[in-house]
Amino acid sequence: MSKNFSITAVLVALLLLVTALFGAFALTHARVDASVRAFYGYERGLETQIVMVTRNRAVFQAMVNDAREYAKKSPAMASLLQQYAPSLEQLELQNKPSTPAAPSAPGR
Amino acid sequence: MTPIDPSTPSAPGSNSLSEADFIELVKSVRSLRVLFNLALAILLLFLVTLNAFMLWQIRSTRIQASRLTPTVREMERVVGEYETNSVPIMQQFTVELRRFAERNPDFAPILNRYAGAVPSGRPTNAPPQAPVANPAPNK
Repeated sequence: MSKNFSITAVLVALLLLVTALFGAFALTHARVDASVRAFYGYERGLETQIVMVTRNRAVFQAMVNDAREYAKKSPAMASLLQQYAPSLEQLELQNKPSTPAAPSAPGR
Repeated sequence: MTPIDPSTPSAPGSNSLSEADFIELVKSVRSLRVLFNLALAILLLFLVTLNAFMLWQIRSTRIQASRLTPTVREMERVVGEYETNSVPIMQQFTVELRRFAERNPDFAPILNRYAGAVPSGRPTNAPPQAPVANPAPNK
């Protein structure tokens, strides 16, 4: 009789413990899920920014190319380009490395 | 639980339990206790499995986020570099080109093709805010 009771008591105690653990894990899961969602949102925002950066750089480069073309018949433009040559070269160098292809958030 | 002693004489006329009934009752109680313990054990097993699944889920979510972290850092670097290095040069050069176009009207049509192309600050209207807690580095 007492053996049966002790088994039941042990089982109930274990059940309470595991239920408490389950509650803790559920809270942790909710917290981690919320922060991961925020992280994915931030990542998506950055992806959008990268697209805009790439577009802006491409448009600016096209503008510089047109200015270079114009400089062939305008010495004033040529001197202006000469003045900005180091900065423009630096920009061109920054345009060359490909922007990272960000993997999209899996199922989020 | 008050054990019933079958040997105890019962009041005349009352429905006393026969010994066979009592044995049957004890058997039933034992069997119910075993069933109850079994149900508890099954419930325990179920909860342990659920806990294991939840733990696995938490870990896999964190691993996914940590895999994405280097890419996010790289994107942050690219955007930061663009904002601090590229945008000022682009703006300055565009201002110079506008001044040049005022002095040389034949350049104005060329410059007008790129009206609004040069950024004035952050590349998007909605700047993303870094998440408060990055889950990736944990565990």
